[in-house]
Amino acid sequence: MQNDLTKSEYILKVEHLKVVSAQGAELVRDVSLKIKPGEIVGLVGESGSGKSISTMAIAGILPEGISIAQGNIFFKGQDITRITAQDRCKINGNQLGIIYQDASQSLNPLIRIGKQIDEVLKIHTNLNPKERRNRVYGTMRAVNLSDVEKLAKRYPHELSGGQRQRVLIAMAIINNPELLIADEPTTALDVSVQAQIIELIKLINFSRKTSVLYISHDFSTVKKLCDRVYVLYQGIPVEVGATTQIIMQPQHMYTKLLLESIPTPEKRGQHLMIMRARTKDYRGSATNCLFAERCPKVFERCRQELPDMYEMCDGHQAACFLLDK
Amino acid sequence: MARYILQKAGQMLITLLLIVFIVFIMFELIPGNPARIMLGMNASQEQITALELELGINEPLPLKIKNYFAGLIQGDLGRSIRFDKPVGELIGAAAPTTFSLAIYAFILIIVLSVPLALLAARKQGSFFDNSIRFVTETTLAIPPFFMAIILMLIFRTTQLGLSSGQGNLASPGFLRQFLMPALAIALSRVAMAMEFLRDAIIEQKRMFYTRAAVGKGATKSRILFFHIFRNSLVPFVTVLGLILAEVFGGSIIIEQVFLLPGLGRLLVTAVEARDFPLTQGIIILIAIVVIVVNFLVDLINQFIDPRIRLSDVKSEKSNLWTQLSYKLKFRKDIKR
Repeated sequence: MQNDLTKSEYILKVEHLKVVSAQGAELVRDVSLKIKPGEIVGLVGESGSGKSISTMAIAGILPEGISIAQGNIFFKGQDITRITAQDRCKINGNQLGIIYQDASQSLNPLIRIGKQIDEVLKIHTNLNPKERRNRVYGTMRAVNLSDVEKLAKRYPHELSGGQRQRVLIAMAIINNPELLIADEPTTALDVSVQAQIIELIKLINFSRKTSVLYISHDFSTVKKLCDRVYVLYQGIPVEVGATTQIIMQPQHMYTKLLLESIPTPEKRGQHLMIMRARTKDYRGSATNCLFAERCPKVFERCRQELPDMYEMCDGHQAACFLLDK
Repeated sequence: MARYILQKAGQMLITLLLIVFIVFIMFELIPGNPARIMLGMNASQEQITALELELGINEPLPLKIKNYFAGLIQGDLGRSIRFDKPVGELIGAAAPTTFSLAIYAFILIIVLSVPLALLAARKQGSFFDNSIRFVTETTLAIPPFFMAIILMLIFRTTQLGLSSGQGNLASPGFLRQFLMPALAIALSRVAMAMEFLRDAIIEQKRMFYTRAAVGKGATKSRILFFHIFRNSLVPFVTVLGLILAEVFGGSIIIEQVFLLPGLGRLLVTAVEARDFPLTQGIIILIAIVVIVVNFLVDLINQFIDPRIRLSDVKSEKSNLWTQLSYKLKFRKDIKR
């Protein structure tokens, strides 16, 4: 019964995900998140917050030695936490598309662009070469690549950074996946190309009804793109809510400080807020609020207990004792 | 592409000419009179002078070089002093044995190292990986001639009827007859080839595009052969080229151990007899083989990795010649 509910309501539902390294360090402590069909969800956090590891766990591409210790990941109602490699191959690239951070390294340098995009079709469909070629060209045009016949015969090193990122996106969406995971797709690009890629992801979401899980450390891109945002700190979500709620009324101190530290035209002439640096890299399990050491409003309770998620108003939640009233 | 091949072929030709030239000069510098050696201790001075005249030993160096190169172009490598036969003929008789042996050993190296590398690279640091590397590295530490003796002992006691003999790839029973010498040459090189391929595979496995291929939904075997193996080939082919050149050199000693009538034995005989033309001929042949192998390695690598072609074209711009032509162009522009 409950299974049916999840199936209909959410494309992706992650419950209490915990990912550990071979040495026992907790890289992701307790992540739960949900994505509805057609929704763009942002996952924001600093380096080491576990956002990339979480997405790798979802896509089943965790590096050697790192594994899921606890929790479940439901994709369209099916638990994909511990599925066989064979079943994983049917999902990845087909129902689940992934865009990677570094496009230049995510393309095989020795294979022509067209062939690399074609590989996804080869794996998942029974189309004949001509149909595949047409679809490859079609998808390349859909991601705003021009002169596709020529481009398909090029090697990755002959393309610009923006073109490579578009090729990766084409590869991810060619089979019309239901969920697109974009792991910091704009970090390696310059600002004007960043904006284009953001627009492209928006367009894909709009025209193909693809849900998007967008991972970034950059609130300014998240603001433009996402419907809902999860703010991750040291492997735990500290604040969840609609993008506007989080931008306008951040509740958790971490989110507040993150937003304060973005330079905007209005803050011209003022000092930017600077967050205290993380002094220790704690990798054991969490027993108190992990942000306590950096929080300007820290009090006794923060050092003793781990805060729950406190709900403000519809869907806006934050894990901070200041909200426990 | 055609330009790249032409460029490389040009380089190859120049190297070849240089090597022939150097080898020729080296032999001119070596003391001793070939005419005296040929005629023996009891020859009279007149006989020696007559032969010197016939061989052209006392001609000026430039003329000698000219004559030698002229002969080389016509395929004439001179006449052996020891055997009193054309050098070309002697080499032609011995080469098939050596070439067959080298190719046999080379194929053995590939056939043994590729599967071993694939197995070892499956899990780095596993028991299997460690034991494969231990065994191959042990064979690496044993010199080929000693390996040959060990093999002889083993095969003699097991009585597999593996004797070494004459023949080449085309002769019947070749594979059996040449197994022992080929193994002796191959075993120590398997470790090197395997190690290179294994390291390359492990490196490729860590690459982001390998992870991206998992994200595409590619199966393990597809990733291994379509992405990882192919991308590991450049270092592997390069080291194979080095090994192939070495195998030719290595066969000289092995031919001695197994008494095979190949180039190696011919070379040793020629050196002992101070047979300069024959020695020259064999050394030039070996040099040609090494250079041609290197050319092929370059060619194969640029087929595998298109970036190699690009980097060569790029470096062309730093060429003195192109710089010069740029400057000339620039001057023309100013004049206008």
